[in-house]
Amino acid sequence: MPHNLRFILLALAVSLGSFVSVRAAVKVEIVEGIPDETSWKFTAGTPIESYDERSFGFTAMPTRYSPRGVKVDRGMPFLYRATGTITLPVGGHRLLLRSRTGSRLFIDGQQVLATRFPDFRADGHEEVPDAPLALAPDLRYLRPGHFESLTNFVSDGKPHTFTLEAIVGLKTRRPELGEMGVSSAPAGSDDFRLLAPLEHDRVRMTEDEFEGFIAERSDTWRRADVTRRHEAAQQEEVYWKGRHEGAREHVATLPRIQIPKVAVGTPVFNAVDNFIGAKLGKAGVKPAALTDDAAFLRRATLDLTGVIPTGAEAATFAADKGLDRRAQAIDRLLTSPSWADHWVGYWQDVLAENPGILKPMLNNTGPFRWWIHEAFSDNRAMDRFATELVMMEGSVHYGGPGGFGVATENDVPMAQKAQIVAQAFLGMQMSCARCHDAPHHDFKQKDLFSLAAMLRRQPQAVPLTSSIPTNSHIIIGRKVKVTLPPGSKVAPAWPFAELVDEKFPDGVLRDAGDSRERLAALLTDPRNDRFAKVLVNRLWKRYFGWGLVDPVDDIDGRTPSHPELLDYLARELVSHDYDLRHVTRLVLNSHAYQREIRADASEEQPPEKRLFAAQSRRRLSAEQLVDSMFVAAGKSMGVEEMNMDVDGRRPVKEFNNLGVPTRSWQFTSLSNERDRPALSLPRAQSVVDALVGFGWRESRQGAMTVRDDVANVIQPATVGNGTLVHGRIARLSDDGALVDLALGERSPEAFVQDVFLRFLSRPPTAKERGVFVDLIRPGFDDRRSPEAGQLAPRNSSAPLRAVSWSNHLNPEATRLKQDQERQARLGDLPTRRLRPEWRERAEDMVWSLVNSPEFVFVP
Amino acid sequence: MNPLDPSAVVSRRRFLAQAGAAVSLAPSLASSLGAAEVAKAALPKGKAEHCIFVWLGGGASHVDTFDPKRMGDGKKVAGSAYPSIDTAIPGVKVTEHLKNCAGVLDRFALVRTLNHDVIDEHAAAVNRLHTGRPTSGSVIYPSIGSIVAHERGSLAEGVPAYVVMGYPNVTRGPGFLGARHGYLYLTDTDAGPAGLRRPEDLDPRRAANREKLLGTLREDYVGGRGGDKPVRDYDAAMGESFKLGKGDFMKAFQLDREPASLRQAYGGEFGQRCLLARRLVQTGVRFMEVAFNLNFLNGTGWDTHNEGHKNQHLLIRDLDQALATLVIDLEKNKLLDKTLIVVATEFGRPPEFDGQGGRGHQSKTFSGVFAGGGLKTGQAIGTTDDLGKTIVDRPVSVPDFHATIHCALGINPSKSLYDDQDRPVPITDRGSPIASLFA
Repeated sequence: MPHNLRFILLALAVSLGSFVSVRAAVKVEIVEGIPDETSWKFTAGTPIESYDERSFGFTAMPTRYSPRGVKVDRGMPFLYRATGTITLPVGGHRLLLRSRTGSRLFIDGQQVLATRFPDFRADGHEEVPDAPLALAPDLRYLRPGHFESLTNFVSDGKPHTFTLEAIVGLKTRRPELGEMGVSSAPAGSDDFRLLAPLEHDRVRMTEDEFEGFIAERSDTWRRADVTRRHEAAQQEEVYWKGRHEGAREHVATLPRIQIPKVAVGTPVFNAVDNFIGAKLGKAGVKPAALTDDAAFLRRATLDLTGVIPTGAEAATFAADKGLDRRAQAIDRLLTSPSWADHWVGYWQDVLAENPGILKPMLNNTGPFRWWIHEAFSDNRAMDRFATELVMMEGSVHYGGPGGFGVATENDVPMAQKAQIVAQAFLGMQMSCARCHDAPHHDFKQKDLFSLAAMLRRQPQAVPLTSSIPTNSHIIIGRKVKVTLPPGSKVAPAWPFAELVDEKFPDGVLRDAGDSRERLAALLTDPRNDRFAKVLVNRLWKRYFGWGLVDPVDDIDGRTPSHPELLDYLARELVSHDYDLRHVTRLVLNSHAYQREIRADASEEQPPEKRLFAAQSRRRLSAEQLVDSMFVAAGKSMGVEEMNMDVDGRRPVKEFNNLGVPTRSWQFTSLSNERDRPALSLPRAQSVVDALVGFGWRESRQGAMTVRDDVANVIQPATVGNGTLVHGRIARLSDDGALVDLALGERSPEAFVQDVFLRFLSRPPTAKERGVFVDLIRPGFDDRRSPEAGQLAPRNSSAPLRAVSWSNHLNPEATRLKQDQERQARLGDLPTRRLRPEWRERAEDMVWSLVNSPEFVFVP
Repeated sequence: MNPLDPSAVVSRRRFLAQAGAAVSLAPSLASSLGAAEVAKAALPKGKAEHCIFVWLGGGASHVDTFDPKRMGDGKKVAGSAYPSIDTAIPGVKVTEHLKNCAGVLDRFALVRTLNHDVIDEHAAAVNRLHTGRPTSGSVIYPSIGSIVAHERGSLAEGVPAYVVMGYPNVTRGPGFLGARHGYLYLTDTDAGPAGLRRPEDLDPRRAANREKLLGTLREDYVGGRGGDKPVRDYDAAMGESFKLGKGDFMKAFQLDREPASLRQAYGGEFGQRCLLARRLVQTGVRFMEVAFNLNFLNGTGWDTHNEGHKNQHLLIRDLDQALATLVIDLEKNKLLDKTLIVVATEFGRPPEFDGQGGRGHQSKTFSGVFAGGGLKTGQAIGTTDDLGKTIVDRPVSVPDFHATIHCALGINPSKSLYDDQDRPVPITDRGSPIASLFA
């Protein structure tokens, strides 16, 4: 009888009417409303939530969503209870419980194991723990902050009910499960495996297998979250469907926009080209030719996913002879998961997302990056996106839009938020109005404070700091007026009646008394065409280098170069459910987008001279550059977790955990204002150095759309000499794809060809082929090292002796971290599968391709 | 020239704004040449060319260093942790662990009444001492290093204006002045500046070969499809970076060219950083921030809570040795008058002891130090009470402290910089230099 079947029969026999256990699952229940004490002296109430796991390994949880579909926190602390029917073979077993918080294990109601509650007083002076003694040779070592406890258990071979209870999220600590779990090994064996109802779910507790398990559980729950948020927001989705119908009805009432005719011979792929072509025709300027396929693919892939194409994608596209291959590629890229990644960095800047991982007190927000990422993964309508932002609901510290509502050490947070919202969605630059009437704009200080009051849901007082001294030379010289003396109170009111009035159709407002909701509705009202224009103009700027009107976050009172096209695209957005992908598809399928770059297109022109006859030259953003490097090398980032409190001992308000970055947007300031070696994150630092060099902001205290992209010496120097490229991207190590590529190639020519495709998305020119084949050919045939045998990649696991906030003031912590810094500078361990002499030349080739200016610019 | 800014192009918008401002200012200037202009005229203008800004991260205890008081007992009785000694300034004492500095204290000016209102948050206080301002929602202020770099640039071709020896962070950054007024940094004198020194495992032959391969790619691309301005600018910056990596600037990092006796005199890693600072001064770097973060000596660095206090004297002795050697070394090289040394920290510490004999934070008065820079040294500015808890006379605000540094370097502290919205932001928030330091 198959093993599993036998198990199910056994389970059926025992569980008497309980179908849950027949599903061979471990049932998890969450009980909230328990006392915030490190004690078990309470009676747990009814579970508020329940779901299934497959084993007794608990490392990730599904996310909870509000009826609006935004992430919300569970009531903390909560009791985490897992129950499953487990059958262990007859005989003795060692049972091992691991947890970062107080937990206990019961078998058939009898407590057999427990771990203690952590000490929450971590002030930094503790000893750095020694590397934990392993209970068994291959057993994954106990992670920082975790406790373990072990007992012997003699099994009668029959199924028993195992129950694990743990109290999570005590005393405002992050409600992370860590590596909680129960495993067992048969007596006389060191083969610890997670307990699970089904044999094949019994993951071995080795470093690698458990690492894989953690990744799998995390992926599984993040995928499940997609469904969970749709289900939670069913009502909300009905509401937005209604809103979008209303929007289409509104557009239908507007006079049609005439699509201009163009002269014969003007290239037209879609309506966008009519608007552009008509103006070109008038000016008598000939548009540039279509760019070649390789350049198109690299450009579109960078623009839509934030990374360069893989070598395989480049090769496939080059071989594609279909007439609609470009449109097909655009459709494929639009639905790539990376679409969301590429937008997160953009909105982090625009919305001043500024989380800190160490006592964030520099105008910091919550990490609402995760919400931005979810919104773009779901292709959420942009009116709903803006509404969710303005409503500031949901989780503050763990990634909901509630995090936008925070501004630490800022005395008028809502004035700043109002400024950000106006800049993001109305193209109004109101920062001057924080302290005085804007000298170059039509804004009064009162306009900003009225908006702030709408966000605040009550009158907003003007603090002393939001003013300038009346004897200031600024006032004398610039005739700036302070119209609101400090202390004045400004009531919630919509200051921009010229954009839209407050006569909402029925059903738009769900709580008419809520000024925050009214503000969201005014911003996103289809009658307020500013909102859609700002968004499509932002999009245009992103894909052409210039907006139809610039600066894109300050367009109030400025004349666009192509007003009809701006109108047209804005209408397309409104009448297509505010779907950014729809407008993007339109823009990228135009001939205008797909043209060659011409030098003059990169020079700034006044709007009336801006023709878009050719594409302009755009440098890769910092995120595009770094992420593309990792794609090309086929390596994971392999940096430290963005977390200074790895043992989970400090309140979330002081120490948040932003996880291990897999894309550049997931980094944050490494926050070593304290200048303490023990707080350094050296592997992450080498990536952050490159990001900062290319204009990424480690701290986003204010909103920004257009980064400073003036070339400076640090940029090529960082790529040329920094650890990131020399020690990692251009290092042929076993954690990257280039070693296998090199070993598998038939000829030096093929290797050069494939490396060019990987890094530059094109085959080498004849000259390049000559130079690099000459480099690669010597020793090619016996490049394989006789030693073979892989080494573990240097970055495979966290250091054995963990430095965390709790012990970072111990001198030993400084010594350990300084050693890690030295290790990090050495980069990844080179592979032993290739002879060093040949490997180094291959690395020199990779280095030169990454350093080439061609790598740094969008083709 | 600042090599971080090879193009040094004034943006069109900025240019227009400046031009516009000048025009609109002209008429009103004539009429209001009253109070404001007179005040400006009265500002002292120092002759220092360089600044070495020593940073004691964590909050150095003033009562245990430059403002000693009666002895405490490490438990209940508040006071200094160590006896004090006489110095080269008559009547001015420092802790016994600063004996080298004491002997040459006439080259120093102590500021004993530095103060601000940020108490319990290191990052916010670090930010205050670096930018001179509280954090604001709408402006990211530049650090003093970036302001000096922006105002005065470097002193030699192909040399950066601003170098940090310590961890990169926002408070040391250029804020609204933009990346090209940022710093080069290093965390280890042996390893050199991140991004400029050739990787240690790359031999010169291989480095040259790489450059040759890259040369082929650059030539083809920049000469062909990538011939437009953004690419040419980047390619030019790359050329500069190769020059920088091989030029005189990188030679400054070869500390082994110094006599062994001098290296020894400077002491450990912090001392070596100070020696490097002197070499950078000679190369033409304008502003150096030198972090003293040898936290392995006591764990906490200058943040001497609890256990951290036990070995605080080791930090002080290291500081003493390096600082005194630096002053004498600069003097011997005739550089002291044109090099302003500043010792700053985010706040001081109270005379009382915590449960384990360490100290908490105190920002309402603490010490900062100047040396050299052509200032009228040999004096202590301001007086604190018997225990160093409150100011008795001559408070010095952070803007005043910064204004003094700027004036010493010939920078007008009330001059306006323009942020990314072309908003005028004065260099200091109405700071006035300490007049008695200027002859």
